[in-house]
Amino acid sequence: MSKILEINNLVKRYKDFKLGEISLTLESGAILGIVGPNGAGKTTLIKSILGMVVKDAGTINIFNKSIDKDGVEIRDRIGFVSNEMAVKGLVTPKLLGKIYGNFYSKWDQKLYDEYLNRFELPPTKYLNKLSQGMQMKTSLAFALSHYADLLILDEPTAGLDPIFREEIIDILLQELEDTSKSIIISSHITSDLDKCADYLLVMNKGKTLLSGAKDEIIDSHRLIKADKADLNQISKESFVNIRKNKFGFEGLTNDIETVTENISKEYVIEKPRVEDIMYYYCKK
Amino acid sequence: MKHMILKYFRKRATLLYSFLLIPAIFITIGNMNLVFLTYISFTFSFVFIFDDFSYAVALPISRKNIVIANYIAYAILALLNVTYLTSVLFLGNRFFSISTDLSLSLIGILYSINILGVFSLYIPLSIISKDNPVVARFSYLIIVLGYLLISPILHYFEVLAKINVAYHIIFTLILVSSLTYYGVKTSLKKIETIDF
Repeated sequence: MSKILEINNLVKRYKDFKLGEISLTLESGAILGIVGPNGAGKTTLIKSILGMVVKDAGTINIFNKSIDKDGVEIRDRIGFVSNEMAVKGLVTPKLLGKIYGNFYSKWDQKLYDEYLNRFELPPTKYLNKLSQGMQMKTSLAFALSHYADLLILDEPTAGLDPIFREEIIDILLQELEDTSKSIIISSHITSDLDKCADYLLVMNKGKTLLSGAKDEIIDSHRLIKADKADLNQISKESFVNIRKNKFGFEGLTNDIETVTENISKEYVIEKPRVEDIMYYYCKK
Repeated sequence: MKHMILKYFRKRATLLYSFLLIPAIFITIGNMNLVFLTYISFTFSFVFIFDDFSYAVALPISRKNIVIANYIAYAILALLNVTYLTSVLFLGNRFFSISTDLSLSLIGILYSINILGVFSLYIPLSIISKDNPVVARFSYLIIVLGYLLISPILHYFEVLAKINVAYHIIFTLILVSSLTYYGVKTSLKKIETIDF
């Protein structure tokens, strides 16, 4: 597998927010899930990858080319889906393909029409008259119709019904059958990433809290539920974070052996979900 | 770039219909001042190409080409306007018996071009306003500036007509080329540093 994306020490500063330093790599044929609460810097990171924001430091190489020097060539190979449908007003899905599609060297109008048909989108209805879900479907149809090597999806499942969310995941997995392709998804709906992500990047306040292969991250963590009294026997440092309730406590640990050795016998141990990982790391 | 220009016009097809229709109504009424005013207003409404600017920078097109495409599209539009106005004046005179003094018409056209030149400043202003909320708040004042310029021109047409037409042409060339130079230079410089 070859590296499709390589970010080194990326920094982007705003008046009241700083992203970075962020470093990450993504191999071809993999799905990277970016998770974090609102304001974590997910969209800024995605915009930096696309060259939409001007970074303050660091390097971003995609397809072994620099986004600073070869931005046009790189974006030609990227399919971008934004949570906000940027093109609105007097544009219909049909017109969107005819006008914007021409910017891409591998644009396939027939494929786009097929996707519009498959997603049951009205080709002649103005985008601002479409529901949020339909706008997202239009955006996805557009991104899939120019044989992009890298798909970047910013909150693609926000505002969508569960059936179409499942459908999107299936489409993305189908796209990955061609192993030279990669996908980056930023999402609040972490259950979607549980199903499809290979790698995870957990962010908060512009910083990377955790990154790596999703299965390794999940295997190295456990969710412990036990009595409050057990907290006196275990150092809190053994936990990423804990949450107390009236029945006891629940905590995420990456030091499973120490915790299980010192805890009473009455405890519940579970594999965490991506949502648990995100919650406990972001509350740290 | 040609797709960008094409997009510019396609998106504004509905406005174009009004742009052609409303001045035609005023011609039949016989008020040429309203014709000038109306078509300049409609021209300004065409400048809003940057509404979907954020999406454009995600496309495989360089920031420099986005600026150039905007200026080319705007120049084509200005040229179409001048052609349209000239035709309107000719047809008004020929078929509706509206008496129009040739020198007055020429000055009308020249100062319409000047106003279009002022309105073209909306292109750099809309780029700067992307990360400058103060500019964003006041960029629409360019409309006021345009109308402040046009009002005395409409009012003192006869006075202007007494000045040699050559001076009006020279003034127009200097003003439009200065505004275009400043606008293109500023836009190209600013667009490279703006976050979208």
